[in-house]
Amino acid sequence: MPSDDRLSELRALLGPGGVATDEAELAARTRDCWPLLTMRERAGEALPRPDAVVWPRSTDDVAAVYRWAVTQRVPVVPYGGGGGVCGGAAPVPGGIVLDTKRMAAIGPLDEVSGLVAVEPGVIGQTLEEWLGARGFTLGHFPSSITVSSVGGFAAARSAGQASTRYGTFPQMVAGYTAVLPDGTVVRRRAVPASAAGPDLGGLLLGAEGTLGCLTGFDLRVHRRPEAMGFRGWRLPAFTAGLEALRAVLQRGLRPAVVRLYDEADTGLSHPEFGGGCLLVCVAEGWPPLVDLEVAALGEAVAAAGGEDRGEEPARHWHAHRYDVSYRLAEFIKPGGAFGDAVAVDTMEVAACWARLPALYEGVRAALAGVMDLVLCHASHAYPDGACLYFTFGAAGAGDEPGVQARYAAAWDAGQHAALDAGATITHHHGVGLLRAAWLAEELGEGGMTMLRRIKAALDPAGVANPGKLGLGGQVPS
Amino acid sequence: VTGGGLRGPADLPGLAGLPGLADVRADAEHCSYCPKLCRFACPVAVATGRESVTPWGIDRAIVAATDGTVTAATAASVYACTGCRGCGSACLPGLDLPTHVRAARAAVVEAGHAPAAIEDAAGAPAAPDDALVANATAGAPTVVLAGCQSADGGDLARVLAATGVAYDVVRVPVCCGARAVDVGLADDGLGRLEVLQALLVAAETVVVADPHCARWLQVDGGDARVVTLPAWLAAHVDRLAFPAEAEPVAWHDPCWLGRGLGVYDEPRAVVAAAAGATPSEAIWHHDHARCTGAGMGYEAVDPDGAAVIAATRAAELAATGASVTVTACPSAAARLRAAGLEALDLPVYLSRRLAHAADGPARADASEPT
Repeated sequence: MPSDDRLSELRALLGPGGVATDEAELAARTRDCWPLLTMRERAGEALPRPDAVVWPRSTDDVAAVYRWAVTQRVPVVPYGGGGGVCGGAAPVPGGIVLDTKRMAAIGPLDEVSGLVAVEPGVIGQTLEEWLGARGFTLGHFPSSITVSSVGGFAAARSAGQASTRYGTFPQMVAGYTAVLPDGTVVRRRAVPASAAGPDLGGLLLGAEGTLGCLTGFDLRVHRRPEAMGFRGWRLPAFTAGLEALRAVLQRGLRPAVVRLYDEADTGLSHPEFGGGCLLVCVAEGWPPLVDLEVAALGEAVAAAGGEDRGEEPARHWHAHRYDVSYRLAEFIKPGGAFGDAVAVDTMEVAACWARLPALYEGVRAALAGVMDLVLCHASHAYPDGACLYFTFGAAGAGDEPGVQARYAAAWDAGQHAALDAGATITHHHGVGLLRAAWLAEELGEGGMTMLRRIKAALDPAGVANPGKLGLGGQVPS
Repeated sequence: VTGGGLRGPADLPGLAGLPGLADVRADAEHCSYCPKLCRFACPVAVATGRESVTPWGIDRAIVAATDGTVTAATAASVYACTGCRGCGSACLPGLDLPTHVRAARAAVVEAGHAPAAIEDAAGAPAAPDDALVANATAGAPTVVLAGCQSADGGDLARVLAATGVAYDVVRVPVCCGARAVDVGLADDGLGRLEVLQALLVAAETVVVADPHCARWLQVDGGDARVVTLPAWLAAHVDRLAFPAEAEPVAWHDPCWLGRGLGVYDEPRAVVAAAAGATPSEAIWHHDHARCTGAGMGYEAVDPDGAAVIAATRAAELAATGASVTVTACPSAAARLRAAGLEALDLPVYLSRRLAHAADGPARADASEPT
């Protein structure tokens, strides 16, 4: 634990308001939004706290914090909005939390190139509204947009609901500034593409603070769409819907939002369908292209045996696209909608089209063997594949240890089923603490060796978010 | 106005007693299981970056205090709220954080952990401005309350006189008690309300200039006679003669007027009539308008955080390019001025425009309401 003397050095670096050790703030820093940590707190467990929270205001401040941490051998856990769902921002006992939210500048906006400079602590919704007032959009709409930060998007390689048109967050990063764990500052100018050596930024995106902290971004932005098109269809089966999506994506079209819900999910949201699967599309951009994308998907759906349900399903989805996040508390709070000790989580995996049907069946069966409810939708579609997003839950009937055991078993079974089907274990939520074990299986011995060597080279003191991604690091005294 | 019998809080339909910690626990617990989806809308969370002051952090502290002990840490969280209801505008379940905060602060006061600064933030009974009294008509059915935070009673008197409507005022020092309740001094606040209500018993309409007082009297107190000054003026603006020369102004929605009472269109209409132009809007406006840091005593408890909030809002309003920002809350106007913005409370702005008109030609359409 950093002594008061050592923390006074931090206060000298960051100013008196730049370091907090008060009870109120440390008590609010026990977890991010990983459901297991929420469940453990709900069960009465006192989770570990950090020893201090620090708020740098600049890249130089961040570099100074890391240099101090190396000298003092204190773990540093970057923290943005705390919206991560894998424990990536969970505190390390004896360590400090490096909160980026006072680095929250937006601009300038380069309207010619379509680039905006953003600091890591900016919340996604704030950025989107700032851009919207100027006629632009980032096109990044994760369901956590009102809580999550730009730095968090980068840390977890986030994806938003309109990723089929605008890409995932790494594709939005044209330039960046980063601080490595020894305090070295890396600045990469914004360029559209480059062959100047390996993609160092790609290494930092998704590192979840284990290789330092990203402190600035040049993000690719777009003119706000001139038009939007909405359409919904009923498909006879999930695999038929996948075929329709594949046909459109492989024709080169990129409708912003395509979401195919399996029968279980469709049955909950649209019981009037009487079975089958809902597919919604929100296309946006140049009006002729919008019309073309909707028409092309309609044609593909018809070929797959689907039927047109008009605009309403897609408009309804769009109007309520963030509601599920707001409803989470209804399920997980004590005495919630399904009683005490409920477990709810999501598992987003991705694979190539040829493997998607097997992935769907495999993961669904694995989760259903342990949990009471399993829903799935396909989203984030690409020419070569798509993400399958499973939602699963269990009613623990007041048995907290029991439901935690079921939760762990569900994750183990689901992730192994994904690996067996040739999928990635995570499409856009990241690894954190939750998926460390399966990361090693996905990357293999060679991949993990490479990752560990990179970690050792960049963070020899082991202060950068130890434990996350299964990378270990310094064990606090 | 003289009382004709006591009308205390217990007689008011909306205020059978203030909720306590146990009353708000269920909603606070619900909030504490949310992934902090309103954090972007909380000015204190944005300004400080502290998790303990997000609405989630505040409600989490309230649950802990309800189930355990009220501590100094409880105070650190629950006094970090401006009551702006930005969180409420982003809350699908519609939780009302200021109600939770009031309950918690009363418990913190009782436990002896309240910040010393709250004494200065509790407001104090204030007598009406001499000009307001001089122009008042004893026994008039319309009674005007300027509020204890306004130092511009002379301007309000000028505007009221220009409408030609007879009004009366409470001629002794009074305070509605909202600010006292806000900071946790519940008994003081309720006592002040009781005194005021007794003095207002004969009024048919109560025009309240400070939206904070107005919400307390109207919503918490359940007093249907209460109308905000902007809403009342919107019905009388056609009687006012403004100068022909248009002036570019920006409008700032006060939190307690907008999100608190849902009054958005009326002040814009009044300002548009006075300015001769539609007021400009900051990026974040209407129910998404950002706070100035003025509410619920926050500026007294954390002046540094409040200064950041005010500076942020002032910069947003300055970006409109308007030479002056008008609002309808004396506290918000003061916060914005402290941040370097030319900001005026509505009566002050209207008074200035009326004076300007008196010195020169009035607009031909001045009698047309907008």
